[in-house]
Amino acid sequence: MDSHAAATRFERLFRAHYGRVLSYARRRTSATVADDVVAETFLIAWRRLESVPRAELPWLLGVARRVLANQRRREATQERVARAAEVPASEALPEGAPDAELSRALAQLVEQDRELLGLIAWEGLTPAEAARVLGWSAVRARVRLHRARTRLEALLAPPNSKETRWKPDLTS
Amino acid sequence: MEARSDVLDRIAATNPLPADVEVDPAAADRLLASVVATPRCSSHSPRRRRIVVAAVALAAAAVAAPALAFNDDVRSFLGLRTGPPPLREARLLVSAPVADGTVAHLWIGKTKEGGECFFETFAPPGEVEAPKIGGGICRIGRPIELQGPLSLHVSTGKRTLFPWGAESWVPLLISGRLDPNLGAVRVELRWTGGSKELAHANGFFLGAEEALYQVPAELLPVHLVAYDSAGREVHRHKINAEWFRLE
Repeated sequence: MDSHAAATRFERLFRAHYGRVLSYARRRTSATVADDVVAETFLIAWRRLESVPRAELPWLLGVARRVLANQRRREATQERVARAAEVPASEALPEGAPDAELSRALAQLVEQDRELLGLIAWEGLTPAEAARVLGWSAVRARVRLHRARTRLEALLAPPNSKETRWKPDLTS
Repeated sequence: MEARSDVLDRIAATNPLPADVEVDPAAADRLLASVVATPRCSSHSPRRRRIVVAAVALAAAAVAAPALAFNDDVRSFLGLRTGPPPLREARLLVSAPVADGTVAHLWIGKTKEGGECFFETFAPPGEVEAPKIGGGICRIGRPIELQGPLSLHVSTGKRTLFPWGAESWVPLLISGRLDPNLGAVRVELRWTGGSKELAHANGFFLGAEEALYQVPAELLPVHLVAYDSAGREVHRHKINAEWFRLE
């Protein structure tokens, strides 16, 4: 791909997905860090343009996810070092979800299942697209989604509600 | 019967932002322009940036993947606001070419407080200048001993902003040290479908490999393999794939 064709393709890709990638990052970290994550993501896309598949958005979100993980690890290192040096860490943590009950239930899921649910519920991806972000097969994503939803529903259900819902009504 | 609320709808309701946030067009244009001004993987930039010593930049950009052979008291200065310690002396261990005409150098430095640092710098070919400050991995007060057959550091490639404002791309960089008792004379990275011999001198190795940046699953696993003078394999270490992806 010559440089003009590469620049043309990249600009189309950038304009098509910049907002979605920015949304993804801002939902998961502070605005400042999100801007860095987005910049890094598109830099990787530019340098790896030949590797970007037709399903561009899942690929970009997969890269952004890894860049964000890198960023969090760096922050964790900075926080540990800063704590050791009695210097406050620089980045504020993002705010939690407003639904406290849901937040508590989600916290009991493994990180990958939380991410899968977030990709579908927040980013509007299909399970197959979310699978690409996570580097899974579509079948694996569907199975994990089913299990995660079931587990989450169980965690959110009030005590004894399962028995109430599924026991036959013997009084009628 | 009352319809059951779907948990996905409930999660969606907690979404703090729309799927596509309102974009600042000026910021987007600035980012687009800065990205396309950066050299791509397949192109070799004819312009060689003058990069003298990048110890500070490296300290901010380099990655301390779990250090196999370093004790807990080995302090990482990555991101430390007070900065890396000043060096009394620095000795060049091994050098290796990286992308865009840049050469990486692995150093060991004695700090003025009696400690020791291992770190990399980057420079144009033929321009090696002993750094004045440490960075990378340092131990306060005493030297870093090798514990076990191997210590290994993996830095995922990333854009690096040097102190004087120049910007460069440093690909995935691997450095480390082998126990001299292994008798290794050659060290290479081996992955599915490829291999790369690393620069090796003074018991230390160093190399960059673009193919392993954000490594695709089909290239895994990646091993670091050491050979003796007879070509026999004397050590093999499977590198955790996450080290190539996490910084």
